[in-house]
Amino acid sequence: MFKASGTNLLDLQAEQVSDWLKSFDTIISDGDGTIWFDDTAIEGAVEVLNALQSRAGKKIYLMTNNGLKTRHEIFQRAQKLGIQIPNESHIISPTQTIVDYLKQHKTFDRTKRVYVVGNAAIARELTDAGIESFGAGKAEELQPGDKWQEFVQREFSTPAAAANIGAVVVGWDEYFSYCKLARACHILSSNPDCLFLVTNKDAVHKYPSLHIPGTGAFVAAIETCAERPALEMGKPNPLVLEPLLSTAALQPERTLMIGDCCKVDVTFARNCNMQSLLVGTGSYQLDQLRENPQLPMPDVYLPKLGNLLPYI
Amino acid sequence: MYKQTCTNLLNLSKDEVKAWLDSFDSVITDCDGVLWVYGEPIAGSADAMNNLKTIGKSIYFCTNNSTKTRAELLKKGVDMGYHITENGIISTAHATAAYLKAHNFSKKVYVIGSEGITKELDAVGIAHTTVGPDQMHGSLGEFMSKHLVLEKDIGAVVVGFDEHFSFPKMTKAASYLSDPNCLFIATNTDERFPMPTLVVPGSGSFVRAIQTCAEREPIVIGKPNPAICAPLINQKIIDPSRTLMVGDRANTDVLLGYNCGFQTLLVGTGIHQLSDVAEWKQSKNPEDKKLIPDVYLPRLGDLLPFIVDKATGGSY
Repeated sequence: MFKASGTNLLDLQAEQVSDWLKSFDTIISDGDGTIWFDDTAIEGAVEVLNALQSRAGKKIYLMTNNGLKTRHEIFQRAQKLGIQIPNESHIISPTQTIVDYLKQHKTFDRTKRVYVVGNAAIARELTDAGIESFGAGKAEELQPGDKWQEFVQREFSTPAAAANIGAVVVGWDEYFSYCKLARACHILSSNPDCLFLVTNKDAVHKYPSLHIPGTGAFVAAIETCAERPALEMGKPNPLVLEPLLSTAALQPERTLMIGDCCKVDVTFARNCNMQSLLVGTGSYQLDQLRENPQLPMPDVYLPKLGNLLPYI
Repeated sequence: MYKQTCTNLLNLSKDEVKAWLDSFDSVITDCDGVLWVYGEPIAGSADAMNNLKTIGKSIYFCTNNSTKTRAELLKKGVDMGYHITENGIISTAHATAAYLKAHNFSKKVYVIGSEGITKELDAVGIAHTTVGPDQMHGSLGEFMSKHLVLEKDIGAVVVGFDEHFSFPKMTKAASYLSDPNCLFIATNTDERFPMPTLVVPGSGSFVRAIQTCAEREPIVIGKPNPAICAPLINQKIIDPSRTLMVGDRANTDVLLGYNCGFQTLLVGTGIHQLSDVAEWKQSKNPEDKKLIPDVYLPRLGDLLPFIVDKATGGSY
């Protein structure tokens, strides 16, 4: 309903909102900026999700692009904030999507290890699934007096440097460096069968006085040198919905995607033929949407998810 | 002559090659992959270039390598036996400093690169940050609240080859570039640094990372941007139709030639081979046609017998 119109639900009659609520059975909600900021719930968001589940009978899934926690750790946060989802399988996160993808991929087997340019959560998720990895959460820098030409000759001239590595996985990495970039490029260019995955391609995270590079920036450097694209294991790649689609756990046309980011959440909804609700608790408010017609327009809008409570 | 046909000069008659030699007065050559590979001279290249000079051609080196100043490139060339002067060297580090100077740049430059860039900035009196390691210390929270220091008078971010590329540098660049008045300049966008046996990142990898998190496009100084040869053309030092561009990488060297109206020669001692040209000839993409050189040689040294023949009038 209200397809791509950016209709503010607060401008509608109660009956119209009620009709809208009946147009979907399943809800997929984003995490950061939609229902929580780190470990703090956004006002009213938890109450709305729980009410949608218990009073309105909707099935609830949480879907995050945050690759800094394992799926289990995200579930623990959800529980701590009082979100009443039945179990862990109602959470879709990049680290779990990566593990699921590797386990079913024909070129990846248990003799292979994974090189991670990213944080330790990726390694934790891989280890839990019995997959060996190296590099996660670690720095790798040129030592004083070491020239880059000597580093690459020393590190990459032996077959061992790229042997038995079945995938390069990229996530957010505050230790990103030339050495890691060079290692990832060497592994990928030595073996065309090596998989190349990234948790998400968020370009940048904007704070008032500074801009922090997103995972998209790290992976762009590797893609440029390796001359191969990385497979995105987060929104807006419709791939992340595959497990729910293949088990018929939901019907896209009767599923609502709730998020705070147009370029990620609304685009994802469009890519999967789902309905979309944009909340204004992230970077986008309604007037910004009106001023920037190139941004994907959600079906409906609310200043914050908590605004929905009186209607449920 | 032979426009965008990739004619192999070794398949032509001696007279045809001599006629081709007469069709240009200036030669601009790439360095890595044509004259040398990393530290090793490519056999025959120095003799070929020196003899082209002897028969009256003016010679220029044009490199996208931002890690050396013109003086350092001159020394490398002279040490390898080339008869070249500093004015005959066109380099991206030098051209970047010249670009800023020409635009009356009076603030400070945040440099992600090497001393090749900072020394050229010093030479024209432009202030800049220091290069070298800038490593992550402590947690992200500590970095954001304590260690990250953003300077107030940065008016440009210049990105070139940097073996100390790091997350802190990316954060600083993205933050400076959030001001639309801050210039974003890339010395070049070569995806890989030429190395004989290994695939290693080039400036293009670093530039793409900054492009992504700054959400901005850079001004690219080096090949194939024709601006790098603009001074020579505008001051009528060279005539484009009578200038030959020699290179090993089509998307920088040959494309520069196309963009400037030069003749082009591709050599097979570097990045691109005849098999790549065959693909571009088949391609339906008009952009790929710009990558097809006029003529080809396996290596620059193959030209030597024809030049000597010309110089000696066919007799010793």
